[in-house]
Amino acid sequence: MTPSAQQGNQLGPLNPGDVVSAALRLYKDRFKTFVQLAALATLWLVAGLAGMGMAIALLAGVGLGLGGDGGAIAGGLLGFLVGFAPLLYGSAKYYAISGVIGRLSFQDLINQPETSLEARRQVAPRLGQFLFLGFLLMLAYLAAYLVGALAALIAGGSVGFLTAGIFSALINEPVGAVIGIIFGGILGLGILLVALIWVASRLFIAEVVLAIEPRQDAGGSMSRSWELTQTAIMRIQIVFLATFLIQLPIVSVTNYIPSILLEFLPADGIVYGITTALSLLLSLVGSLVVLPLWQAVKGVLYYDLRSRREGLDLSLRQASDGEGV
Amino acid sequence: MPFFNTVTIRTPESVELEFVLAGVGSRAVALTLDYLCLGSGLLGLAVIYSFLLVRLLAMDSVLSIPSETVQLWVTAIAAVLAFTLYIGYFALFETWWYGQTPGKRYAKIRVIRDDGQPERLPQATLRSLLRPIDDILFIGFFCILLSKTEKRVGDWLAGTLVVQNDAVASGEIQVPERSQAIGIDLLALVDITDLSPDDCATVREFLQRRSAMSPKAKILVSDQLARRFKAQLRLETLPTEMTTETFLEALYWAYQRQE
Repeated sequence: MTPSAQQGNQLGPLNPGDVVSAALRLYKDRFKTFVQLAALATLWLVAGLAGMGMAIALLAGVGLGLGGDGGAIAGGLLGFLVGFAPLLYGSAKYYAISGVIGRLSFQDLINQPETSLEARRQVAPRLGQFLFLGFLLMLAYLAAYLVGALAALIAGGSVGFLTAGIFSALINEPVGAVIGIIFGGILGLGILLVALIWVASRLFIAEVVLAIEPRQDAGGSMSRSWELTQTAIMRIQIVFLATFLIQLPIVSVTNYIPSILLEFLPADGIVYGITTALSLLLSLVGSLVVLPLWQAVKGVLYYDLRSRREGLDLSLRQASDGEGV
Repeated sequence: MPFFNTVTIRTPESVELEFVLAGVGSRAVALTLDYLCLGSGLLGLAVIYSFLLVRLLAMDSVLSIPSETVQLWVTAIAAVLAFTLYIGYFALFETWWYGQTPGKRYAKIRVIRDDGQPERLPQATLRSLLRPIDDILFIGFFCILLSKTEKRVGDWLAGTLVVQNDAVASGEIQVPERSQAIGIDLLALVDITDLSPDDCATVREFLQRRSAMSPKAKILVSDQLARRFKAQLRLETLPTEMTTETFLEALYWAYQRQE
Protein backbone atom coordinates (compact mmCIF):
# COMPACT_ATOMS: atom_id res chain seq x y z
CA MET A 1 0.00 0.00 0.00
CA THR A 2 1.13 3.52 -0.53
CA PRO A 3 2.36 5.07 2.67
CA SER A 4 -0.02 8.00 2.39
CA ALA A 5 -3.01 5.70 1.99
CA GLN A 6 -2.26 4.06 5.30
CA GLN A 7 -2.56 7.20 7.31
CA GLY A 8 -5.22 7.24 9.98
CA ASN A 9 -5.61 3.51 9.38
CA GLN A 10 -7.96 4.41 6.56
CA LEU A 11 -7.32 2.56 3.32
CA GLY A 12 -7.41 4.72 0.24
CA PRO A 13 -8.29 3.63 -3.29
CA LEU A 14 -7.02 0.11 -3.94
CA ASN A 15 -5.36 -1.70 -6.85
CA PRO A 16 -7.56 -4.37 -8.39
CA GLY A 17 -5.40 -7.06 -6.83
CA ASP A 18 -5.63 -5.41 -3.43
CA VAL A 19 -9.42 -5.34 -3.70
CA VAL A 20 -9.37 -9.10 -4.01
CA SER A 21 -6.76 -9.58 -1.28
CA ALA A 22 -8.69 -7.37 1.11
CA ALA A 23 -11.91 -9.24 0.38
CA LEU A 24 -10.17 -12.54 1.00
CA ARG A 25 -8.77 -11.23 4.28
CA LEU A 26 -12.21 -10.03 5.39
CA TYR A 27 -13.66 -13.43 4.54
CA LYS A 28 -10.88 -15.16 6.49
CA ASP A 29 -11.37 -12.92 9.53
CA ARG A 30 -15.14 -13.35 9.68
CA PHE A 31 -15.31 -16.81 8.19
CA LYS A 32 -17.97 -18.16 10.55
CA THR A 33 -20.33 -15.20 10.20
CA PHE A 34 -20.00 -15.08 6.44
CA VAL A 35 -20.50 -18.80 5.92
CA GLN A 36 -23.49 -18.78 8.26
CA LEU A 37 -25.06 -15.96 6.26
CA ALA A 38 -24.28 -17.69 2.97
CA ALA A 39 -25.83 -20.92 4.27
CA LEU A 40 -28.91 -19.02 5.38
CA ALA A 41 -29.21 -17.35 2.00
CA THR A 42 -28.79 -20.63 0.13
CA LEU A 43 -31.34 -22.33 2.38
CA TRP A 44 -33.87 -19.62 1.58
CA LEU A 45 -33.30 -20.14 -2.11
CA VAL A 46 -33.68 -23.90 -1.77
CA ALA A 47 -36.76 -23.40 0.41
CA GLY A 48 -38.29 -21.17 -2.26
CA LEU A 49 -37.71 -23.80 -4.90
CA ALA A 50 -39.04 -26.53 -2.62
CA GLY A 51 -42.09 -24.39 -1.86
CA MET A 52 -42.80 -24.09 -5.55
CA GLY A 53 -42.40 -27.84 -6.05
CA MET A 54 -44.67 -28.55 -3.11
CA ALA A 55 -47.36 -26.18 -4.35
CA ILE A 56 -47.33 -27.87 -7.74
CA ALA A 57 -47.44 -31.37 -6.26
CA LEU A 58 -50.15 -30.50 -3.76
CA LEU A 59 -52.48 -28.76 -6.19
CA ALA A 60 -51.90 -31.36 -8.90
CA GLY A 61 -52.81 -34.05 -6.38
CA VAL A 62 -55.97 -32.19 -5.40
CA GLY A 63 -56.82 -31.72 -9.09
CA LEU A 64 -56.28 -35.43 -9.73
CA GLY A 65 -58.67 -36.29 -6.92
CA LEU A 66 -61.32 -33.86 -8.16
CA GLY A 67 -61.25 -34.23 -11.93
CA GLY A 68 -58.92 -37.00 -13.17
CA ASP A 69 -56.05 -36.27 -15.57
CA GLY A 70 -57.43 -32.94 -16.79
CA GLY A 71 -57.80 -31.80 -13.21
CA ALA A 72 -54.25 -32.82 -12.46
CA ILE A 73 -52.89 -30.68 -15.30
CA ALA A 74 -55.07 -27.72 -14.28
CA GLY A 75 -54.02 -28.18 -10.66
CA GLY A 76 -50.36 -28.39 -11.66
CA LEU A 77 -50.59 -25.14 -13.60
CA LEU A 78 -52.34 -23.45 -10.71
CA GLY A 79 -49.66 -24.82 -8.40
CA PHE A 80 -46.99 -23.37 -10.68
CA LEU A 81 -48.60 -19.94 -10.38
CA VAL A 82 -49.11 -20.21 -6.62
CA GLY A 83 -45.59 -21.58 -6.25
CA PHE A 84 -44.17 -18.32 -7.57
CA ALA A 85 -44.93 -16.71 -4.22
CA PRO A 86 -42.54 -18.87 -2.17
CA LEU A 87 -39.97 -18.82 -4.97
CA LEU A 88 -39.96 -15.04 -5.18
CA TYR A 89 -39.87 -14.70 -1.40
CA GLY A 90 -37.01 -17.17 -1.18
CA SER A 91 -34.95 -15.48 -3.86
CA ALA A 92 -35.57 -12.02 -2.36
CA LYS A 93 -34.31 -13.39 0.95
CA TYR A 94 -31.29 -14.91 -0.79
CA TYR A 95 -30.51 -11.62 -2.43
CA ALA A 96 -30.95 -9.55 0.72
CA ILE A 97 -28.81 -11.84 2.88
CA SER A 98 -26.07 -11.89 0.25
CA GLY A 99 -26.24 -8.11 0.34
CA VAL A 100 -25.73 -8.25 4.11
CA ILE A 101 -22.35 -9.95 3.59
CA GLY A 102 -21.29 -7.08 1.31
CA ARG A 103 -22.52 -4.61 3.90
CA LEU A 104 -20.54 -6.25 6.69
CA SER A 105 -17.37 -6.11 4.58
CA PHE A 106 -17.89 -2.43 3.87
CA GLN A 107 -18.60 -1.59 7.50
CA ASP A 108 -15.36 -3.34 8.49
CA LEU A 109 -13.47 -1.24 5.98
CA ILE A 110 -14.81 2.04 7.34
CA ASN A 111 -13.96 0.91 10.87
CA GLN A 112 -17.58 0.74 11.96
CA PRO A 113 -18.00 -3.04 12.20
CA GLU A 114 -21.49 -4.41 12.65
CA THR A 115 -22.65 -7.78 13.89
CA SER A 116 -24.52 -9.95 11.47
CA LEU A 117 -27.73 -9.39 13.44
CA GLU A 118 -27.44 -5.58 13.30
CA ALA A 119 -26.77 -5.64 9.58
CA ARG A 120 -29.67 -7.98 8.92
CA ARG A 121 -31.95 -5.74 10.94
CA GLN A 122 -30.90 -2.78 8.79
CA VAL A 123 -31.50 -4.65 5.56
CA ALA A 124 -34.67 -6.58 6.49
CA PRO A 125 -37.21 -3.78 5.92
CA ARG A 126 -36.03 -3.46 2.32
CA LEU A 127 -36.85 -7.03 1.33
CA GLY A 128 -39.43 -5.88 -1.22
CA GLN A 129 -36.84 -3.57 -2.79
CA PHE A 130 -34.45 -6.48 -3.18
CA LEU A 131 -37.12 -8.41 -5.03
CA PHE A 132 -37.79 -5.41 -7.24
CA LEU A 133 -34.06 -4.95 -7.83
CA GLY A 134 -33.76 -8.57 -8.93
CA PHE A 135 -36.58 -7.96 -11.37
CA LEU A 136 -35.00 -4.74 -12.69
CA LEU A 137 -31.62 -6.40 -13.11
CA MET A 138 -33.23 -9.20 -15.06
CA LEU A 139 -34.87 -6.65 -17.33
CA ALA A 140 -31.57 -4.81 -17.78
CA TYR A 141 -29.72 -7.98 -18.75
CA LEU A 142 -32.53 -8.93 -21.10
CA ALA A 143 -32.39 -5.53 -22.75
CA ALA A 144 -28.60 -5.73 -23.00
CA TYR A 145 -28.91 -9.17 -24.53
CA LEU A 146 -31.44 -8.02 -27.11
CA VAL A 147 -29.54 -4.88 -28.09
CA GLY A 148 -26.24 -6.76 -28.12
CA ALA A 149 -27.67 -9.56 -30.22
CA LEU A 150 -29.10 -7.09 -32.71
CA ALA A 151 -25.82 -5.20 -33.00
CA ALA A 152 -23.94 -8.48 -33.29
CA LEU A 153 -26.24 -9.66 -36.03
CA ILE A 154 -25.89 -6.48 -38.04
CA ALA A 155 -22.14 -5.98 -37.60
CA GLY A 156 -21.18 -9.65 -37.70
CA GLY A 157 -23.43 -10.31 -40.67
CA SER A 158 -22.19 -7.44 -42.77
CA VAL A 159 -18.51 -8.04 -41.98
CA GLY A 160 -19.01 -11.74 -42.62
CA PHE A 161 -20.55 -11.10 -46.03
CA LEU A 162 -17.85 -8.60 -46.91
CA THR A 163 -14.94 -10.91 -46.03
CA ALA A 164 -16.70 -13.82 -47.68
CA GLY A 165 -17.03 -11.77 -50.85
CA ILE A 166 -13.41 -10.61 -50.79
CA PHE A 167 -11.95 -14.04 -50.12
CA SER A 168 -14.25 -15.67 -52.64
CA ALA A 169 -12.88 -13.35 -55.27
CA LEU A 170 -9.27 -13.83 -54.10
CA ILE A 171 -9.18 -17.61 -53.53
CA ASN A 172 -12.37 -19.50 -54.25
CA GLU A 173 -15.94 -19.59 -53.07
CA PRO A 174 -15.94 -22.36 -50.41
CA VAL A 175 -12.85 -20.94 -48.68
CA GLY A 176 -14.36 -17.45 -48.83
CA ALA A 177 -17.60 -18.68 -47.29
CA VAL A 178 -15.79 -20.45 -44.44
CA ILE A 179 -13.57 -17.45 -43.69
CA GLY A 180 -16.57 -15.14 -43.87
CA ILE A 181 -18.58 -17.27 -41.46
CA ILE A 182 -15.66 -17.50 -39.02
CA PHE A 183 -14.93 -13.76 -39.14
CA GLY A 184 -18.56 -12.72 -38.86
CA GLY A 185 -19.24 -15.26 -36.12
CA ILE A 186 -16.25 -14.18 -34.01
CA LEU A 187 -17.11 -10.50 -34.42
CA GLY A 188 -20.79 -11.07 -33.59
CA LEU A 189 -19.99 -13.18 -30.55
CA GLY A 190 -17.44 -10.58 -29.44
CA ILE A 191 -19.97 -7.75 -29.70
CA LEU A 192 -22.59 -9.70 -27.76
CA LEU A 193 -20.09 -10.63 -25.06
CA VAL A 194 -18.81 -7.08 -24.72
CA ALA A 195 -22.35 -5.74 -24.42
CA LEU A 196 -23.26 -8.25 -21.71
CA ILE A 197 -20.00 -7.80 -19.81
CA TRP A 198 -20.34 -4.05 -19.98
CA VAL A 199 -23.84 -3.99 -18.51
CA ALA A 200 -22.98 -6.65 -15.95
CA SER A 201 -19.98 -4.62 -14.72
CA ARG A 202 -21.98 -1.41 -14.51
CA LEU A 203 -24.59 -3.16 -12.36
CA PHE A 204 -22.11 -5.38 -10.50
CA ILE A 205 -22.50 -3.75 -7.08
CA ALA A 206 -26.20 -2.78 -7.21
CA GLU A 207 -27.39 -5.09 -4.44
CA VAL A 208 -24.53 -4.12 -2.15
CA VAL A 209 -25.45 -0.46 -2.63
CA LEU A 210 -29.03 -1.31 -1.67
CA ALA A 211 -27.81 -3.12 1.44
CA ILE A 212 -25.41 -0.37 2.52
CA GLU A 213 -26.90 3.01 1.71
CA PRO A 214 -29.74 4.07 3.98
CA ARG A 215 -33.00 5.18 2.36
CA GLN A 216 -32.00 3.71 -0.98
CA ASP A 217 -34.51 1.95 -3.23
CA ALA A 218 -34.10 -0.54 -6.06
CA GLY A 219 -33.98 1.96 -8.91
CA GLY A 220 -31.72 4.28 -6.92
CA SER A 221 -29.19 1.51 -6.21
CA MET A 222 -29.07 0.61 -9.85
CA SER A 223 -28.32 4.15 -10.95
CA ARG A 224 -25.83 4.49 -8.09
CA SER A 225 -23.98 1.37 -9.24
CA TRP A 226 -24.09 2.71 -12.78
CA GLU A 227 -22.67 6.05 -11.70
CA LEU A 228 -19.92 4.68 -9.47
CA THR A 229 -18.62 2.16 -12.01
CA GLN A 230 -18.53 4.71 -14.83
CA THR A 231 -14.76 4.97 -15.11
CA ALA A 232 -13.87 1.60 -13.65
CA ILE A 233 -15.03 -0.96 -16.19
CA MET A 234 -11.58 -2.33 -16.98
CA ARG A 235 -10.67 -2.43 -13.31
CA ILE A 236 -13.83 -4.39 -12.57
CA GLN A 237 -12.95 -6.89 -15.30
CA ILE A 238 -9.55 -7.46 -13.71
CA VAL A 239 -11.08 -7.82 -10.26
CA PHE A 240 -13.63 -10.22 -11.67
CA LEU A 241 -11.00 -12.36 -13.41
CA ALA A 242 -8.76 -12.49 -10.35
CA THR A 243 -11.66 -13.46 -8.07
CA PHE A 244 -12.69 -16.08 -10.57
CA LEU A 245 -9.17 -17.49 -10.54
CA ILE A 246 -9.10 -17.60 -6.76
CA GLN A 247 -12.42 -19.39 -6.39
CA LEU A 248 -11.44 -21.86 -9.11
CA PRO A 249 -9.73 -24.40 -6.80
CA ILE A 250 -12.94 -24.78 -4.82
CA VAL A 251 -15.50 -24.51 -7.58
CA SER A 252 -13.67 -26.81 -9.96
CA VAL A 253 -13.81 -29.59 -7.37
CA THR A 254 -17.42 -29.02 -6.34
CA ASN A 255 -19.06 -27.85 -9.57
CA TYR A 256 -17.08 -28.23 -12.78
CA ILE A 257 -15.41 -31.64 -12.44
CA PRO A 258 -18.57 -33.44 -11.17
CA SER A 259 -20.67 -32.02 -13.98
CA ILE A 260 -18.07 -33.13 -16.54
CA LEU A 261 -17.89 -36.60 -14.97
CA LEU A 262 -21.66 -36.78 -15.00
CA GLU A 263 -21.59 -36.52 -18.78
CA PHE A 264 -19.85 -39.89 -18.96
CA LEU A 265 -22.44 -41.75 -16.89
CA PRO A 266 -25.24 -43.57 -18.71
CA ALA A 267 -28.29 -41.35 -18.29
CA ASP A 268 -30.62 -43.82 -16.66
CA GLY A 269 -31.01 -45.95 -13.57
CA ILE A 270 -30.84 -45.32 -9.86
CA VAL A 271 -27.06 -44.79 -9.84
CA TYR A 272 -27.40 -41.86 -12.20
CA GLY A 273 -30.19 -40.37 -10.09
CA ILE A 274 -28.21 -40.62 -6.88
CA THR A 275 -25.06 -39.25 -8.51
CA THR A 276 -26.97 -36.32 -9.94
CA ALA A 277 -28.50 -35.53 -6.58
CA LEU A 278 -25.12 -35.78 -4.87
CA SER A 279 -23.39 -33.58 -7.43
CA LEU A 280 -26.21 -31.04 -7.11
CA LEU A 281 -25.71 -30.99 -3.35
CA LEU A 282 -21.96 -30.67 -3.80
CA SER A 283 -22.31 -27.78 -6.22
CA LEU A 284 -24.68 -26.09 -3.79
CA VAL A 285 -22.04 -26.39 -1.07
CA GLY A 286 -19.40 -25.04 -3.45
CA SER A 287 -21.49 -22.01 -4.36
CA LEU A 288 -22.21 -21.47 -0.70
CA VAL A 289 -18.52 -21.32 0.13
CA VAL A 290 -17.60 -18.89 -2.65
CA LEU A 291 -20.65 -16.63 -2.24
CA PRO A 292 -19.09 -14.68 0.66
CA LEU A 293 -15.93 -14.11 -1.39
CA TRP A 294 -17.89 -12.53 -4.23
CA GLN A 295 -19.99 -10.47 -1.84
CA ALA A 296 -16.91 -9.30 0.07
CA VAL A 297 -15.31 -8.32 -3.24
CA LYS A 298 -18.40 -6.28 -4.05
CA GLY A 299 -18.29 -4.62 -0.64
CA VAL A 300 -14.60 -3.73 -1.02
CA LEU A 301 -15.18 -2.57 -4.58
CA TYR A 302 -17.96 -0.30 -3.38
CA TYR A 303 -15.59 1.20 -0.82
CA ASP A 304 -12.86 1.57 -3.42
CA LEU A 305 -15.15 3.26 -5.93
CA ARG A 306 -16.55 5.62 -3.33
CA SER A 307 -13.03 6.55 -2.27
CA ARG A 308 -12.01 7.23 -5.83
CA ARG A 309 -15.09 9.03 -6.99
CA GLU A 310 -16.19 10.70 -3.78
CA GLY A 311 -13.14 10.84 -1.52
CA LEU A 312 -14.87 8.69 1.10
CA ASP A 313 -11.57 7.81 2.77
CA LEU A 314 -10.62 11.49 3.02
CA SER A 315 -13.93 12.34 4.70
CA LEU A 316 -13.56 9.39 7.05
CA ARG A 317 -10.00 10.23 7.90
CA GLN A 318 -11.06 13.74 8.70
CA ALA A 319 -14.01 12.54 10.78
CA SER A 320 -11.81 10.32 12.90
CA ASP A 321 -9.16 13.04 13.31
CA GLY A 322 -11.81 15.65 13.97
CA GLU A 323 -13.03 13.98 17.14
CA GLY A 324 -9.92 15.06 19.00
CA VAL A 325 -10.00 18.68 17.80
CA MET B 1 -7.16 -3.87 10.63
CA PRO B 2 -4.00 -4.82 8.72
CA PHE B 3 -5.06 -6.13 5.32
CA PHE B 4 -1.63 -7.04 4.03
CA ASN B 5 1.17 -9.16 5.43
CA THR B 6 4.55 -7.55 5.87
CA VAL B 7 8.02 -8.99 6.05
CA THR B 8 11.12 -7.47 7.59
CA ILE B 9 14.48 -8.13 5.99
CA ARG B 10 17.76 -7.47 7.75
CA THR B 11 20.54 -6.65 5.32
CA PRO B 12 24.18 -7.61 6.00
CA GLU B 13 24.72 -3.98 7.03
CA SER B 14 22.09 -4.52 9.77
CA VAL B 15 19.62 -2.24 8.07
CA GLU B 16 16.05 -3.38 8.54
CA LEU B 17 13.86 -3.09 5.49
CA GLU B 18 10.13 -3.60 5.68
CA PHE B 19 8.23 -4.85 2.65
CA VAL B 20 4.49 -5.29 2.17
CA LEU B 21 3.84 -8.70 0.63
CA ALA B 22 1.97 -8.76 -2.66
CA GLY B 23 -1.13 -10.60 -1.50
CA VAL B 24 -3.03 -13.36 -3.26
CA GLY B 25 -5.23 -10.90 -5.14
CA SER B 26 -2.41 -8.97 -6.80
CA ARG B 27 -0.64 -12.18 -7.72
CA ALA B 28 -3.84 -13.53 -9.24
CA VAL B 29 -4.19 -10.32 -11.24
CA ALA B 30 -0.59 -10.50 -12.44
CA LEU B 31 -0.91 -14.18 -13.35
CA THR B 32 -4.14 -13.62 -15.26
CA LEU B 33 -2.67 -10.79 -17.31
CA ASP B 34 0.61 -12.61 -17.95
CA TYR B 35 -1.18 -15.75 -19.08
CA LEU B 36 -3.35 -13.65 -21.38
CA CYS B 37 -0.19 -12.14 -22.97
CA LEU B 38 1.53 -15.50 -23.10
CA GLY B 39 -1.58 -17.18 -24.46
CA SER B 40 -1.83 -14.75 -27.35
CA GLY B 41 1.88 -15.31 -28.04
CA LEU B 42 1.41 -19.07 -28.10
CA LEU B 43 -1.67 -18.69 -30.27
CA GLY B 44 0.37 -16.64 -32.74
CA LEU B 45 3.02 -19.35 -32.72
CA ALA B 46 0.38 -22.01 -33.39
CA VAL B 47 -0.97 -20.04 -36.33
CA ILE B 48 2.50 -19.60 -37.83
CA TYR B 49 3.25 -23.28 -37.22
CA SER B 50 0.17 -24.56 -39.00
CA PHE B 51 0.62 -22.10 -41.85
CA LEU B 52 4.26 -23.18 -42.32
CA LEU B 53 3.36 -26.83 -42.13
CA VAL B 54 0.76 -26.53 -44.86
CA ARG B 55 3.07 -24.49 -47.07
CA LEU B 56 6.08 -26.79 -46.61
CA LEU B 57 4.02 -29.90 -47.26
CA ALA B 58 2.74 -28.32 -50.45
CA MET B 59 6.37 -27.76 -51.53
CA ASP B 60 7.10 -31.42 -50.90
CA SER B 61 8.06 -32.20 -54.49
CA VAL B 62 10.26 -29.13 -54.82
CA LEU B 63 12.35 -29.79 -51.72
CA SER B 64 12.81 -33.51 -52.42
CA ILE B 65 12.63 -34.32 -48.69
CA PRO B 66 10.08 -36.84 -47.44
CA SER B 67 7.04 -35.05 -46.04
CA GLU B 68 7.23 -36.89 -42.70
CA THR B 69 10.70 -35.50 -42.05
CA VAL B 70 9.50 -31.98 -42.77
CA GLN B 71 6.53 -32.49 -40.49
CA LEU B 72 8.70 -33.79 -37.67
CA TRP B 73 11.21 -31.00 -37.97
CA VAL B 74 8.63 -28.23 -38.03
CA THR B 75 6.78 -29.76 -35.10
CA ALA B 76 9.97 -30.16 -33.09
CA ILE B 77 11.01 -26.58 -33.74
CA ALA B 78 7.54 -25.33 -32.82
CA ALA B 79 7.57 -27.34 -29.58
CA VAL B 80 10.97 -25.97 -28.60
CA LEU B 81 9.83 -22.44 -29.43
CA ALA B 82 6.65 -22.85 -27.37
CA PHE B 83 8.67 -24.09 -24.40
CA THR B 84 11.15 -21.24 -24.80
CA LEU B 85 8.31 -18.75 -24.96
CA TYR B 86 6.65 -20.16 -21.84
CA ILE B 87 9.84 -20.21 -19.78
CA GLY B 88 11.48 -17.23 -21.44
CA TYR B 89 8.54 -14.90 -21.04
CA PHE B 90 8.77 -14.96 -17.26
CA ALA B 91 12.52 -15.48 -16.94
CA LEU B 92 13.55 -12.72 -19.33
CA PHE B 93 10.96 -10.15 -18.28
CA GLU B 94 11.74 -10.69 -14.61
CA THR B 95 15.45 -10.31 -15.33
CA TRP B 96 15.22 -7.25 -17.54
CA TRP B 97 12.64 -5.45 -15.49
CA TYR B 98 14.18 -6.37 -12.12
CA GLY B 99 11.54 -8.81 -10.99
CA GLN B 100 8.59 -7.60 -12.98
CA THR B 101 6.54 -8.94 -15.86
CA PRO B 102 3.85 -6.96 -17.71
CA GLY B 103 1.22 -8.45 -15.40
CA LYS B 104 3.25 -7.72 -12.27
CA ARG B 105 3.88 -4.20 -13.49
CA TYR B 106 0.14 -3.63 -13.84
CA ALA B 107 -0.52 -5.15 -10.42
CA LYS B 108 2.32 -3.01 -8.95
CA ILE B 109 4.21 -5.96 -7.48
CA ARG B 110 7.77 -7.20 -7.93
CA VAL B 111 9.92 -10.23 -7.16
CA ILE B 112 12.90 -9.72 -4.85
CA ARG B 113 15.41 -12.07 -3.31
CA ASP B 114 15.06 -13.14 0.31
CA ASP B 115 17.82 -10.70 1.24
CA GLY B 116 16.07 -7.77 -0.40
CA GLN B 117 18.28 -7.67 -3.50
CA PRO B 118 16.65 -7.45 -6.93
CA GLU B 119 15.90 -10.71 -8.69
CA ARG B 120 18.39 -11.86 -11.37
CA LEU B 121 18.48 -14.53 -14.07
CA PRO B 122 19.09 -17.62 -11.88
CA GLN B 123 16.15 -16.90 -9.60
CA ALA B 124 13.91 -15.90 -12.50
CA THR B 125 14.72 -19.10 -14.40
CA LEU B 126 14.13 -21.28 -11.38
CA ARG B 127 10.80 -19.62 -10.64
CA SER B 128 9.83 -19.96 -14.26
CA LEU B 129 10.80 -23.64 -14.52
CA LEU B 130 8.84 -24.51 -11.40
CA ARG B 131 5.76 -22.61 -12.53
CA PRO B 132 4.09 -25.65 -14.14
CA ILE B 133 4.40 -27.56 -10.88
CA ASP B 134 2.77 -24.70 -9.00
CA ASP B 135 -0.02 -24.59 -11.54
CA ILE B 136 -0.88 -28.29 -11.24
CA LEU B 137 -3.82 -28.73 -8.85
CA PHE B 138 -3.35 -25.13 -7.70
CA ILE B 139 -0.41 -26.14 -5.50
CA GLY B 140 1.11 -22.67 -5.78
CA PHE B 141 -2.18 -21.02 -4.87
CA PHE B 142 -2.51 -22.99 -1.65
CA CYS B 143 1.13 -22.40 -0.77
CA ILE B 144 0.69 -18.65 -1.18
CA LEU B 145 -2.54 -18.68 0.77
CA LEU B 146 -1.26 -20.74 3.68
CA SER B 147 2.37 -19.70 4.11
CA LYS B 148 3.17 -16.63 6.13
CA THR B 149 5.57 -15.27 3.54
CA GLU B 150 3.24 -16.03 0.63
CA LYS B 151 5.74 -18.23 -1.21
CA ARG B 152 4.89 -20.74 -3.86
CA VAL B 153 7.15 -23.76 -4.52
CA GLY B 154 9.16 -21.76 -7.06
CA ASP B 155 9.68 -19.01 -4.52
CA TRP B 156 10.89 -21.45 -1.86
CA LEU B 157 13.47 -22.99 -4.16
CA ALA B 158 14.63 -19.77 -5.79
CA GLY B 159 14.67 -17.95 -2.44
CA THR B 160 12.46 -15.10 -3.58
CA LEU B 161 9.62 -13.00 -2.23
CA VAL B 162 6.88 -11.17 -4.09
CA VAL B 163 6.29 -7.72 -2.63
CA GLN B 164 4.33 -4.60 -3.42
CA ASN B 165 6.15 -1.96 -5.36
CA ASP B 166 7.08 1.19 -3.52
CA ALA B 167 4.53 3.78 -4.43
CA VAL B 168 5.91 6.32 -6.84
CA ALA B 169 4.73 9.82 -6.00
CA SER B 170 1.83 10.12 -8.37
CA GLY B 171 2.60 13.31 -10.17
CA GLU B 172 3.52 16.79 -9.04
CA ILE B 173 0.67 18.99 -7.94
CA GLN B 174 0.22 22.05 -10.08
CA VAL B 175 -0.64 25.00 -7.89
CA PRO B 176 -1.89 27.99 -9.91
CA GLU B 177 -0.14 31.32 -9.36
CA ARG B 178 -3.10 32.93 -7.67
CA SER B 179 -3.20 30.14 -5.11
CA GLN B 180 0.55 30.49 -4.60
CA ALA B 181 0.13 34.19 -3.85
CA ILE B 182 -2.69 33.49 -1.44
CA GLY B 183 -0.56 30.83 0.19
CA ILE B 184 2.18 33.33 0.89
CA ASP B 185 -0.44 35.72 2.35
CA LEU B 186 -1.66 32.88 4.56
CA LEU B 187 1.83 32.32 5.93
CA ALA B 188 1.77 35.84 7.30
CA LEU B 189 -1.69 35.44 8.79
CA VAL B 190 -1.55 32.09 10.57
CA ASP B 191 0.82 29.71 12.25
CA ILE B 192 0.96 27.00 9.63
CA THR B 193 2.53 24.55 12.08
CA ASP B 194 -0.94 24.13 13.59
CA LEU B 195 -1.37 21.73 10.73
CA SER B 196 0.18 18.33 11.28
CA PRO B 197 2.08 16.49 8.55
CA ASP B 198 -0.91 14.12 8.45
CA ASP B 199 -3.20 17.02 7.66
CA CYS B 200 -0.90 18.13 4.88
CA ALA B 201 -0.90 14.59 3.54
CA THR B 202 -4.69 14.65 3.48
CA VAL B 203 -4.68 17.90 1.52
CA ARG B 204 -2.12 16.49 -0.89
CA GLU B 205 -4.17 13.33 -1.39
CA PHE B 206 -7.22 15.41 -2.14
CA LEU B 207 -5.37 17.62 -4.63
CA GLN B 208 -3.86 14.58 -6.34
CA ARG B 209 -7.06 12.66 -6.62
CA ARG B 210 -9.61 15.38 -7.20
CA SER B 211 -9.58 15.04 -10.98
CA ALA B 212 -10.94 11.49 -10.65
CA MET B 213 -13.74 12.58 -8.35
CA SER B 214 -17.25 13.40 -9.40
CA PRO B 215 -17.86 17.19 -9.46
CA LYS B 216 -20.43 17.07 -6.67
CA ALA B 217 -18.25 14.99 -4.37
CA LYS B 218 -15.25 17.22 -5.10
CA ILE B 219 -17.10 20.27 -3.83
CA LEU B 220 -18.39 18.40 -0.81
CA VAL B 221 -15.01 17.04 0.27
CA SER B 222 -13.10 20.26 -0.38
CA ASP B 223 -15.73 22.10 1.63
CA GLN B 224 -15.38 19.72 4.57
CA LEU B 225 -11.60 19.88 4.50
CA ALA B 226 -11.47 23.66 4.12
CA ARG B 227 -13.88 24.25 6.99
CA ARG B 228 -11.93 22.00 9.28
CA PHE B 229 -8.52 23.48 8.50
CA LYS B 230 -9.85 27.01 8.74
CA ALA B 231 -11.06 26.24 12.24
CA GLN B 232 -7.85 24.46 13.12
CA LEU B 233 -5.74 27.43 12.03
CA ARG B 234 -8.08 29.81 13.93
CA LEU B 235 -8.51 31.78 10.73
CA GLU B 236 -11.53 34.03 11.14
CA THR B 237 -11.55 35.84 7.81
CA LEU B 238 -9.92 34.78 4.59
CA PRO B 239 -7.49 37.20 2.92
CA THR B 240 -9.67 37.31 -0.22
CA GLU B 241 -12.72 35.66 -1.72
CA MET B 242 -11.85 32.22 -2.99
CA THR B 243 -13.21 28.75 -3.62
CA THR B 244 -12.52 26.02 -1.12
CA GLU B 245 -10.29 24.29 -3.64
CA THR B 246 -8.17 27.41 -4.04
CA PHE B 247 -7.93 27.63 -0.26
CA LEU B 248 -6.66 24.06 -0.07
CA GLU B 249 -4.15 24.69 -2.84
CA ALA B 250 -2.95 27.76 -1.00
CA LEU B 251 -2.66 25.80 2.25
CA TYR B 252 -0.64 23.12 0.51
CA TRP B 253 1.65 25.71 -1.04
CA ALA B 254 2.11 27.48 2.27
CA TYR B 255 2.92 24.25 4.05
CA GLN B 256 5.52 23.38 1.41
CA ARG B 257 7.13 26.83 1.69
CA GLN B 258 7.30 26.66 5.46
CA GLU B 259 9.29 23.45 5.22
